[in-house]
Amino acid sequence: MKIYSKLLAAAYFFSVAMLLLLEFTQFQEVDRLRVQISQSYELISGRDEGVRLELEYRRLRGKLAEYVFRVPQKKMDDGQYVLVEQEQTVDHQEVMVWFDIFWSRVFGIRQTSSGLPEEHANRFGALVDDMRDVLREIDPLVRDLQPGDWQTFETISAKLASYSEEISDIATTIAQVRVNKAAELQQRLNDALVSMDSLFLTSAAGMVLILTLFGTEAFRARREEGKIKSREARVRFLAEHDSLTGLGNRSYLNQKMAQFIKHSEETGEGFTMLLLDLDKFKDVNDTHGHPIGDRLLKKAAARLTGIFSATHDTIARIGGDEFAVLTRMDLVHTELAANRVIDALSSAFELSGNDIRISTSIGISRYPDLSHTAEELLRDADLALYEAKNRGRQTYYLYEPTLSVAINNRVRLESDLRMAIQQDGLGLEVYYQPQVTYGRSSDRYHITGVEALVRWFHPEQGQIPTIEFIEIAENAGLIGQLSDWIVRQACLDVVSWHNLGYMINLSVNLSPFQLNNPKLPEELNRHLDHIGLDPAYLTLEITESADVRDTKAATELLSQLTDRGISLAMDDFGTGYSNLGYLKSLPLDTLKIDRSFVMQIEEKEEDRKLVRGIINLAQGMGLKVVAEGVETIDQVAFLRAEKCDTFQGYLYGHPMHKLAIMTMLAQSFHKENSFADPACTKVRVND
Amino acid sequence: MGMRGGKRDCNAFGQALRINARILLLVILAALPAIAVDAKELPCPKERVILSVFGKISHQNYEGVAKLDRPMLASIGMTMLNTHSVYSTNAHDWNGVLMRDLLAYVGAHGQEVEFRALDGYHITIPVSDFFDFDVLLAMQRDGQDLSIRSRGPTRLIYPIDNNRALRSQKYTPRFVWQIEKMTVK
Repeated sequence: MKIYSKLLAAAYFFSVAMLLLLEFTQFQEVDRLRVQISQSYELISGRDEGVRLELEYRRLRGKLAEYVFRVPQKKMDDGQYVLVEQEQTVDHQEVMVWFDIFWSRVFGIRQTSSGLPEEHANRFGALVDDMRDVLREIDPLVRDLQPGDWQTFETISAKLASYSEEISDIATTIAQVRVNKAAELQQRLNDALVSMDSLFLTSAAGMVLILTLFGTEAFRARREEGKIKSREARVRFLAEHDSLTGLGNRSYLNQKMAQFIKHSEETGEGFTMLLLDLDKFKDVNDTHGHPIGDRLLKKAAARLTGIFSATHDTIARIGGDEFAVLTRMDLVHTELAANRVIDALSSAFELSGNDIRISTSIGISRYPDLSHTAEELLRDADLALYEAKNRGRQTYYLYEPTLSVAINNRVRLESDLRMAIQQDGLGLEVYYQPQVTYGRSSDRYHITGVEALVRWFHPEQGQIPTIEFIEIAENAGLIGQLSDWIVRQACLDVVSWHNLGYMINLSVNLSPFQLNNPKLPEELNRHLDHIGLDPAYLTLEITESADVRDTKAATELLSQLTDRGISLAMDDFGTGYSNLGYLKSLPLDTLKIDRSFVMQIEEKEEDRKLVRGIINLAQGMGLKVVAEGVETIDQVAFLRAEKCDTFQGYLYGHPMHKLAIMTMLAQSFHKENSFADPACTKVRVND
Repeated sequence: MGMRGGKRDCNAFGQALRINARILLLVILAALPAIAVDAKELPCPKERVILSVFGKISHQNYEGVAKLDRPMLASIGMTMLNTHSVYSTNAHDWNGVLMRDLLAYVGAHGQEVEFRALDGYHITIPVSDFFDFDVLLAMQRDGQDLSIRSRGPTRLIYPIDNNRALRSQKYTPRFVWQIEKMTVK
């Protein structure tokens, strides 16, 4: 309630209280007046002093006469008095009683209390004084009065008779005064009643006003409350919803999960969570800009809402391109819905005249049979989503408990890897795969270099696949340290071989993540200086990858390295999607043809054409070519025919321990520093 | 005659038949035990009767009435009360009998008492008044017997000096004077 209405209410209450008080006093006044009036009338009707005075006066005179004459006379129609037989007689005692009564009246009368106007009061006072004198005078006469003593009676009667008129006059006056007073009181009573009526009206009006005020106030308060409620609802909606898509946000999802769980506990009915991630959404943002990305999200959200029930299911956007759905559908229908979602989000979005294609991966978890809390539900859906992505995206994966074992294993591996790097590569080994070059002049194959490849021999789990732990390192931010360790280790090994006279080249893979590290040249230089490796013998292999965020910066960084004399090779060439302009801008020395092309040059004409094209391209750009994955002599023959003279592959050796490389180098160098025949080498070399 | 009353009467005729009456009384007591069980005879007045009590009273000295003279009233026990009356300007020493004592003396068993004055004034007062307040049936003022001239021989005096509640219009008419008789109802 607002302050002014409070004040107003207080004022009204006060006024009504005052009115009630007034009414109460008025009631009392009316009551008092009624009593006074009734008393006035009572006095007039016989208790009035004046009336009683006259009454007793006449009674006394009558008694006196009766006593003296004993037998009263009655005046007849003809004017004659006749004696009437009278049974009752008045004795002297009775006369004395009435004389005494009159006496007490005259002597006891209070002249001031009669309420007479002054002139009458004075007259009354004089009369009473005279009467007292007369009474004292006749007192002995009355005492000794005998029946029949009419002379004494005459004396007494004469004394009394002289006041007859005056007594009745004064009695009338007093009565009149009383009547007037009663009339006046009656008038006052009437006035009081009228004023009470108006008081009643006023307080009734006050009541009506107060009720109106309260009614208005209550109405206003209710409307205000309604406004506040709708505002609160709006605020809550905003707090729980994503402003872009209008879907619920994470907090909304949490709330809904709690509701679903509660419902499930009550009914025993389970529910499912679908966690979606839009594949390649980042690319859309990068390529087309955020406004288009936002519109895409909106459309994707709309397609999602079309698939699920608005009333039974809950859809929330819980991250940039992450959506979650809660549904009570059974598993069969959930999987159908998941397929529909994948189809729906995979079809092209038309935005600003562009057909944009994305896809989605879905992780599915279930409460309560697989996941037992809201946290587990979300985590398990996340694991399933991760697995779906691993399985090539654009698919869904239903969470199974083994997944978390796998994830736990990953987490442990990550921690173990960190430990291994910290303990100067405990369990880590650098393996080397030889690179062989055919010398056209000598017609022999020489080991001209090695590619350093890391291996991890886990103390409990044995050898961990390199792809797996490299990915762990990349995701855990350990790749920089790991690469650093590899480079250092490989450089040390190669320098030791150089010291033995085996002057071979060292190739080290550079992770795309490292190209984003501006301190890389500095760090590499420090190692080279410290270890004492001639940069001319070092080749850094990079891949075509979208993970390089800033190609211009990367190009500059690579230039710094090549300026120092380090060579640069493009690894896995042909599998990526670098454009030639970018390729040309890089200070490359070498192209490495990916094994997938080399493997099939014997079977597929297209691959032979492709490999031929790559070699031509490289030579056109003045680059050396290295063929990877060489396993047969026929492959070597084809490559040599196409003027690619450097090979790497199982034909010449698997990646091997440094001691094995040492042995190989020793043999190769001492036996005229070459392989006479690749077939022999294959037999001899043991990894 | 004895059949008519059954109670002792202070008339001479009643005195003569006293013994017979006593026998009859026993008979009637046997017949009407509830009515007569606490009946008591009052002595006969020796002086002029100044107060007669009628109505529901158990103790009588005449047929249906207790006639009282000054010594009889005084024998009930005199109480002195110093107070104003509503009609007096000065306080006086009033001597008399407490009304509740008088009612006990005559064996009253009613709820109210009608007072009738010599001049015909009459008023009915609830008996509770006499138990709530020390209401005095005054016979003397400042040591002087009240006469009719001085608003006697008996008059009611309420102790208004001790009790403000009595100074109201309600009680003013109850200051009866020149009381001739009472009727217990």
